[in-house]
Amino acid sequence: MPRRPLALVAPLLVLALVGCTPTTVIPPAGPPSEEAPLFASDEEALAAATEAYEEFLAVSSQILQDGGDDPERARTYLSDSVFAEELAGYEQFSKSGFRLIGQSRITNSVLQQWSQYETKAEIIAYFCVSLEGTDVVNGSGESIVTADRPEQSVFEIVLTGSRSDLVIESKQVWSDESVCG
Amino acid sequence: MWVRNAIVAILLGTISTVIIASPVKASSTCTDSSWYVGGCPNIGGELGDDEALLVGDLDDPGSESSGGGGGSGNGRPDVSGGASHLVAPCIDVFEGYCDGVRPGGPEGGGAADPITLSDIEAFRPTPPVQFMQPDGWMVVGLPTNFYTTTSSHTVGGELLGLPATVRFTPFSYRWRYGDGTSAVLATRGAPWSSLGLREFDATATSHVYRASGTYVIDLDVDYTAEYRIRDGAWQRIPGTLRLPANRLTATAGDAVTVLVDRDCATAPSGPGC
Repeated sequence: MPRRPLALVAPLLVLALVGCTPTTVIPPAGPPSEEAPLFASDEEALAAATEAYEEFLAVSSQILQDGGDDPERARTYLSDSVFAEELAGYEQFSKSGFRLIGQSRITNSVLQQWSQYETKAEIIAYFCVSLEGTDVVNGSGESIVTADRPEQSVFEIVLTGSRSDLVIESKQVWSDESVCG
Repeated sequence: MWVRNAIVAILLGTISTVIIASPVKASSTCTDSSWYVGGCPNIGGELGDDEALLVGDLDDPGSESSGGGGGSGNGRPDVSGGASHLVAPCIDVFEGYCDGVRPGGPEGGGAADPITLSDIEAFRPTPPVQFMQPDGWMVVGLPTNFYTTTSSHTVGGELLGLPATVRFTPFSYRWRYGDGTSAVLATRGAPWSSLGLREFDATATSHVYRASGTYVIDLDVDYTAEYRIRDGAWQRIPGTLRLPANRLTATAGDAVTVLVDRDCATAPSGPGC
């Protein structure tokens, strides 16, 4: 069988492919090999982290306003090790008769990063938290707050879990206060 | 963005988006309760010649008149008068300060300026120990196996009354073989038996002596150090530590193969032994 010159075969193949194009049905894409992202954007991830951290701050403040009573309320927001740390503080509040007045509030937040493995996310974010207007008093109603207590601090918070069930894994004071603006 | 993330996800099984990565320094863990009262302890670490130092300071929020509730001053450690150095570790602490202790303050004293509690604690790693095979001698021209058993270990202590731990991790082993040669290795080595080797087999940490004589072998091990307060996250202490191991002295001799009548171990006076 005589060999066809390659220069002739190639255009034929191209024509054949072009001819098929209008009627070729592209098969639907299969399911992605990875899990769908838990957050559609960085903003969404930060919002979820902020919501979870705000919830913890509210519950933690309430415990301290109650003089350290019923500290178990904070457990669902924290990993075991972080809860153990906070628990020691709540218990000392209770033992010493201290009571918090007011509540901290987040004044700014910055996402450091978020990542996902299967259906679990890890979000790391910085929060500037203000103590303005808060006080801690002893059993006699006297303030025990130090005169030079910083009125705001930056925390690096690491949260893990599903979208609706984020738990604080780590809580570190951050020395860089540029997050507060 | 999603396409890039998807590729990363396929490759790594993760989706990652980094917004900022500026290296800022975390100072310490801090609970809500201690933060509301007086801020958080400022703790840092540094490395000395043969030890890690943790340094911390904290504004003392308490006073004997305002300690309140269950805070009694009985049995509490004393603190140096007027100075900012905490002489004795806190015993009864509230997240970083001694409840009821008033550093330098007079008994029942009135209002005082805020006083900073400072504490410094040294953490010394366990010195490395080196071994050699054969023990105390070597055969000229055949590998001598040197190794050390030092490994990552923690040393516990207390800073500002808080449980503190320093972890030392060896990462470099510097052998000086006493014959003018040396080696910087990334492995600590292991006995021949652990490696599944026979005596005088070469190992990653073995050395061959070329002449008979007595040699002094020195080993320095370099460590990185990290610390943590309570069960908090590990914080790296900048720099490294170098610790010397025990010195070995050994004699290298020539090996001569001779035909003997029977095992010299059972018949040491036999022909050829």
